[in-house]
Amino acid sequence: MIDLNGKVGLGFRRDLSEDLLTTNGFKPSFVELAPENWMNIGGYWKKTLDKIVLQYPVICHGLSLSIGSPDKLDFAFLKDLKLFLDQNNVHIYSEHLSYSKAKNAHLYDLLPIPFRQDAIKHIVERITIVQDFLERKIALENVSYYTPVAAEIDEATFISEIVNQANCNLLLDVNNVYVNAFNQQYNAKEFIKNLPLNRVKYIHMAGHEKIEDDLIIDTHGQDIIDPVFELFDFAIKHLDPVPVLLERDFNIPQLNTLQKEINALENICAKNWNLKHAAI
Amino acid sequence: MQLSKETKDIQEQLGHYCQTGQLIKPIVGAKLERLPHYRRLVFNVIKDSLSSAYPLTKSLIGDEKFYQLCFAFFSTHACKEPQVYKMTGEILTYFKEHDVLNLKSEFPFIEELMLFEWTEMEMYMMADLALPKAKKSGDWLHDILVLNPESRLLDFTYPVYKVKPNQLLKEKAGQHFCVAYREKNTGKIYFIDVSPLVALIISAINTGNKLHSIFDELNQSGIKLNEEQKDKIVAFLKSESSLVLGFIH
Ligand SMILES: [Fe+2]
Repeated sequence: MIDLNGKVGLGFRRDLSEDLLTTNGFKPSFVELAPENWMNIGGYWKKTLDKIVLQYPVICHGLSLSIGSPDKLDFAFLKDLKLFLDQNNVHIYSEHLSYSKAKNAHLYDLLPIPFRQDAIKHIVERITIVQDFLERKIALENVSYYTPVAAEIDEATFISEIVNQANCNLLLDVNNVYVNAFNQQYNAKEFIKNLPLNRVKYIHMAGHEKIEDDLIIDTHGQDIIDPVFELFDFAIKHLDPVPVLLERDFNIPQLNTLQKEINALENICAKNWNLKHAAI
Repeated sequence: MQLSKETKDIQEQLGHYCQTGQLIKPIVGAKLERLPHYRRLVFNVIKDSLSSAYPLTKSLIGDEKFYQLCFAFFSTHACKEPQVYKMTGEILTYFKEHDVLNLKSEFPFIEELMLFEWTEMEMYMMADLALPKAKKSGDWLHDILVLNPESRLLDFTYPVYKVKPNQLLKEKAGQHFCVAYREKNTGKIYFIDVSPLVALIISAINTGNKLHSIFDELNQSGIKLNEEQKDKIVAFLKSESSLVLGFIH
């Protein structure tokens, strides 16, 4: 198993497959893909997937687990998922701390869970079941949200209680922290310090779009802005080296622009984590 | 379940709102002006996926009606598939039973057009099937012909697979057969128009019958083929090397 800690990867999109598979010098350290877009398939895209798996370490980031849902867990889906992770040599599987299904209807987007004690218990129980079933630890991501819903406790406590009680990992999405801090008007650095940072095993970085004076939408369609780079620099000072992902889902720019963002992230990692290694 | 009824209700209310755009009652502690963003983001996923799965249907009925159809589907149907591309197939079953926009009277072939588009997508994405063992050379008449397992014999009332959608209104209801298959190397899906006779022969080959006995049976049932007709059928099968993969002696 290749050590991806401190390395920077890229979210894998179909439009990027040719660039990632040709020898044009563009080669992120790993790729991340959504298993839902790649499992149970064949033909052209399965061949592409097989090539990607041969050339890159693959991390999976799911969309449809719906860990915070009031609905029952979907074991048929979990079975397919486990097979996919095993077949493609995937060691890191993460999902969103949100829900995307209610009343047995998939909604295909990430909805905010009420920050409440009963939701914590419910989700902890479900993570335990999922981790047992998949026979691996999962990492859950702090998601961006545009309004709190029926919150009784603060977000950092909600996340911390869940990952600590369920004994799972945390995927720290630094852009989401920035987006939420802006939208919900809290201090991003304070928020990060209140998270169980020893459980962070993976980081996401992305761009976003400010659509109103007081609202940012987490689009993954823009370049990363400087304040998010700064927040990343701040966050990783408090963390051991972990893999870092550049998420870019829309508006995909020229490869050199992506490469510049990857380089910028690598430099910040090197600055913070190499120093730390040297000190040990 | 650890979740209280109250929390569950709130979560379901938000889900219902995203699905339908309708708020049954205000969601506790939520900023109401922010909720439409969720509705928009959810519906965008649905519109975009259905648009890319059904481009011909969309251009036939126009964007506005197409989005109304997407809305009617998504707001009243509980999507079952965790994989978005598979969700796009669910609209077919929905549309069979619900034609709220009265599209079928305007476009009698529309259900078949959607089925054609979905078949192409579904076959393009479907999991690989193991190739049966077959010999490269053999006797076209006396060996079993091995067909591509990733193929389907389809019949339509309207020739949706070969006539441009805007020309289909000129077509009368009839019987149209085609063979769809996935080409191994490129993964592309081909739809090959075949006559009712060839369709019958292909379905007989599919059940393991040899060509000479198929011809015999046709003969006995009154369909007498002369040598030239038989040669033509063999020539057609020979020309479709991605459909007929080989022989079992
Ligand atoms: Fe993320």
